[in-house]
Amino acid sequence: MFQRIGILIVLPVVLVTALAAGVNAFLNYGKFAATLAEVESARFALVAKGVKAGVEANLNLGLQLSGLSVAQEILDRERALLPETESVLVFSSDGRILFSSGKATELAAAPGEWLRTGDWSSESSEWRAVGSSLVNPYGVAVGGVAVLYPRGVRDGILSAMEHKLTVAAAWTALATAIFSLLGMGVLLKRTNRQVESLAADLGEGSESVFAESQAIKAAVSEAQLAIARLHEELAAGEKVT
Amino acid sequence: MKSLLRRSIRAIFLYTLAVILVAQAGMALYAWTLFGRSLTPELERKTEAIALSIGNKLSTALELGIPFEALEGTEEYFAEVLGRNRDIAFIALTSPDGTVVHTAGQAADKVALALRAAKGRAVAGPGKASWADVADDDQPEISQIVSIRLGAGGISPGALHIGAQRDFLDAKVSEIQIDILVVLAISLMIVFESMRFIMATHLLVPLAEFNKQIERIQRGDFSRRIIARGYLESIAGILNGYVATINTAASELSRRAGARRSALLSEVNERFVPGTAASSARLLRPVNQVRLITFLFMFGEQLSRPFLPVFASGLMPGGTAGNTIWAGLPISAFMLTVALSMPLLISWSDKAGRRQSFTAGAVCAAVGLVGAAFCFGIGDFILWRIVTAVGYALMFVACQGFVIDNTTESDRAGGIAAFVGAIMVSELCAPGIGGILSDRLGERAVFAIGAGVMLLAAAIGTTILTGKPALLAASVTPVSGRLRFTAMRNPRFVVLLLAAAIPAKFALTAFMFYIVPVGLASLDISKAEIGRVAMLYAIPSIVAASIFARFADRFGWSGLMVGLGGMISGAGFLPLLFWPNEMAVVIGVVALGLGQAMSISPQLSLVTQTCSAEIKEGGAGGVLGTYRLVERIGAALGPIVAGALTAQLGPLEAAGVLGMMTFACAVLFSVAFLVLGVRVEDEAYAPVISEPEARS
Repeated sequence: MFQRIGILIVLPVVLVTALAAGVNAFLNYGKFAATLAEVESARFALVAKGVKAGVEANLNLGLQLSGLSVAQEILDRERALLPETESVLVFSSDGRILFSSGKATELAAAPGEWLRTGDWSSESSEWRAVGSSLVNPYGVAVGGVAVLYPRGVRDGILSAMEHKLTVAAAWTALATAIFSLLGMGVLLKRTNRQVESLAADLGEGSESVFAESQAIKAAVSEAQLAIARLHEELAAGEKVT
Repeated sequence: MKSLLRRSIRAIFLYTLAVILVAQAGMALYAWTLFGRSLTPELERKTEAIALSIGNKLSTALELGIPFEALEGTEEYFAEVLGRNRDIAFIALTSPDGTVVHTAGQAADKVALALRAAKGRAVAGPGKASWADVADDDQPEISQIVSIRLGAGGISPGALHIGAQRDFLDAKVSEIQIDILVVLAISLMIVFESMRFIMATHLLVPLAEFNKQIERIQRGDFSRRIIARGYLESIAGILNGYVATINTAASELSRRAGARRSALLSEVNERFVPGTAASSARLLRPVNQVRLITFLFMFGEQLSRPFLPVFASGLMPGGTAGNTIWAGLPISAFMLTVALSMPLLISWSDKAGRRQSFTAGAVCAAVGLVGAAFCFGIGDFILWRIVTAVGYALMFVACQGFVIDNTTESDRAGGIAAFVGAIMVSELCAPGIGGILSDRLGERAVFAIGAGVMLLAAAIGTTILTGKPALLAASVTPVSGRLRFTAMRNPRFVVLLLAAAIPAKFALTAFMFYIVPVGLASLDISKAEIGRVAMLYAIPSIVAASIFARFADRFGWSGLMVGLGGMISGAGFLPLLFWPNEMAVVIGVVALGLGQAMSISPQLSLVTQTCSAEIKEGGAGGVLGTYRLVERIGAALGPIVAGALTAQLGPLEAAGVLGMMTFACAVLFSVAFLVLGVRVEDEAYAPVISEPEARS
């Protein structure tokens, strides 16, 4: 009986705890991944901003993006800021790659999602990228800049975090199971001892300690007495007859 | 004796909840420590990159011969960088003698203080910059400072310093802390419900039976034995032994009495209440067990509450005319289906049995939710909601029927309270978790999860709901059309329906089910936050509904409570007319919860008082059937009207108008009942409806 009820109580406790720990880990992982992405992309966005500032300063002088002789120098200088940068690309508004610095990419042209105005971020199975559109003095987007960086670092951190949180959730469920079982064992045994002492207290022939036992015994003996008296009355009546 | 056992049971509950609390808190704290440990190096790399980027620009300017003090626009540039990076507290430029020349984010004296307090690291940072840590006591806002020397070689013209914001990671963590607290609270409630379910058969119900038996014996009532089962088997056996001894002796006496039997028996009955020697034990009827399956079912259904109309709106092609009305249509279709199908399903449930009807309901509702998860457009979404509504109606009649089958007049209120309590707890839990999950996994996944929870409810239901109904209560017996018509002739009943019952349900579905999700979404508030706001509705009901009901019964304040509740609900929406923001929505939700908690039970009490003649004539079932049907039609109208008002005014402004309508109805109701009076004619009929039943 003990074991059965103990296990029956602990089972949903562990199940719900495991679920809650899972949701807990899931929420934390989601926030961690978003913050890490924000921090990492902001770092590489610095390179993109540097290129954008340098190139647009020249565009403001009336130069054409495709014929910008200083562009390569700007790209190399800004890429040096973060050595882990894979490559920096400048492309025209139709997606043609005009300048690049760093590791050669397999990209023949800028993907469509890079062509939007303002700041953006994108990713493929090989790389992650942040970038921005390049605007001439008339406010027209004439192309863009993209900074490609490897996925490995973030993926590694995320995978380590995922592993740690999964293990933590499993430990949480296990610890809950162990402590619940131990505690439940102690508490249920205590309850059983109380039940046994109550049973002994209620039992016939024992000296009752609890008020309820005394009251019950009093009520029972009162009823027994009443019945006995009636038996006597009945017997007396039978004699008379 | 009794309190000893009660304390033990309470200790089991408290211990279990404490273990879960500690385990979950430990898990969250560990995750947040990992958070800081893994993100700090990334943040340092980023800060250093910013320092190098700015340093390069400044060095170029200095190399071009621009004097250090005359670097124009430096503060503005620093401020722009700060604006893009919330993890940075300040950016400052110091001259070779350490004077702060240019700064943004913090005043020069504060920056100087932080620079003096900073202690350089023995191990250099990840790049060519130098790092220093700042103690919390010295500078609570700054945790680290990264510095780079400007210029190339020779004498440096100055240095650039960037201070990292100490509480940036804490702020990031705090964004999920509320979500985690919600998850923790909900998991505690689910465990609590599960424990009640498990302990009901083994401890809670036997203990309640044991307590009742002690009271009976103390009164001299030996008419009943209790079932010896569960933890208290041995005690029950002893008590049954006493009962058997007395009854055997009484039977023996009766046998000997012969001609004097009736005289002796009346003498015995004056002193105590005997049973027969073979008095059978009354079967344990743990109606509390219905709580868990009701909770699970309602949990699965209500997970979608924070986003349902917004999801429906997204199913329509852009630019669809009457988009906001279409968004309310799935809710209205659901409510209408429940209203119309429930009276028809009662008799089917009676015939088929509670287990079959509950299982059919849970499976039907789960199918509806799976359909909703994979729906293609608004048309089939509405269809799936109707399927879910049929399942909902089946579940409702099965669970309510199970309670009624397994209770008598004396313990029915407690049984219904368990059933309604489960609905209220699920209303508290489900929107919160539904919002969090839909933010992370998407709305369709939440419908699918809801279906899974319902199937779990079905599986548990098959094990606990057994047998066909033993007895049927008048309150749920199908009613004849004639009786409904008779009730509708009573002007007080009609006023009660039109000015109190319909507006109450109307306000509930229009505001809680439509305006709250749509209005808060229009303020760009996350679904998790919408779920948390929706949770607030259940709190006044859980905390105060029974207190209000007792007040209304004790002082005869039913009319006052109904009027006041309506006015509070309506007045709660009015701030939205002036301040259409999240706080005003929160006020509206709490006011609605409070208003409904005040008025729903007294409304039922008023029905029985105003229709005492009709109830005397044909039972309470007909009047209640009419009442339920009409108020649920009001519930069905709510979302459509809210959608139409939203199309004209916007969602939050529409709530203001709804508030005026609700308030006006409450005033009309109060005036009408002040003029007409309640006309209490037959008090004997008042207890036909118990307080918890009223809330169902």
